[in-house]
Amino acid sequence: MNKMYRFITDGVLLILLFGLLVLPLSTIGLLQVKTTQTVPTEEVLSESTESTSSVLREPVNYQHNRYNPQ
Amino acid sequence: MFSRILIKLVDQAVVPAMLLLVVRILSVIFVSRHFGIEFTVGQSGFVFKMPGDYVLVNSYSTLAMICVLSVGLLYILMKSMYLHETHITPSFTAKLFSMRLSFFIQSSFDLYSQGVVWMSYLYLLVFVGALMVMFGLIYLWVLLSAVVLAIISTYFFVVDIENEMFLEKSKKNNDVNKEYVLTFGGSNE
Repeated sequence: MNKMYRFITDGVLLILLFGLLVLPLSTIGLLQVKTTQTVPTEEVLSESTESTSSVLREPVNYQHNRYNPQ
Repeated sequence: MFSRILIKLVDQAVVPAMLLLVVRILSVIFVSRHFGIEFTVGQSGFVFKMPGDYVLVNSYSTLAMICVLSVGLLYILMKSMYLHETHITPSFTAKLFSMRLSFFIQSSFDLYSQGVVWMSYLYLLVFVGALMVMFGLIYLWVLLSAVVLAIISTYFFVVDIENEMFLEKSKKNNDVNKEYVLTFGGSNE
């Protein structure tokens, strides 16, 4: 029983010591750089498909009319 | 009941932990003000706008931590070299007692537990500093200064432990408690 008690108390002391040693170095996470705001993926995808289709549609018609005027 | 060494180490680790924590936070504020870097304090901590500002402030605040560690280690090494109860000269002991500064004289147990704690902080800082250099979060010269300090302080610490060990050996060889039997009243033949 005494050995078990000793084992537990020593374990607690070791954890406490490790926590104290790591505590000042954990402050590295306190500094951060401001990141750009993220846009939801669905919005980005829908916008990108719309814009691509609208851009592609007109030049294709234009080139078709210009070089193959049938 | 409790491990005496572990209790001593925990006891000795509290002051440097708090000191380094305070130095880290104060140095971030001071360096930002000194270089005119803007930051906001949010829930997650200090937030900087530019990555370059972040690296600058992080490097100088880490350097401040290294400076505090070097002062602490220098104090412990000076005590272990000149005020160690096993090395101290009798005349210096008498001087300290006359000036009522006898509490400066410390035992090996006190000195080595302090040394182990402060050296652990320094080694951990070198390890974390190496990781930060790898990810480009601090300048390389900050890590190099920490490594140089670690090498020098380790060398002097080892020299002091060696002195202590040789003193122990010589004490064993010149054992004053050895019994000698003197016979008086012998004939002068």
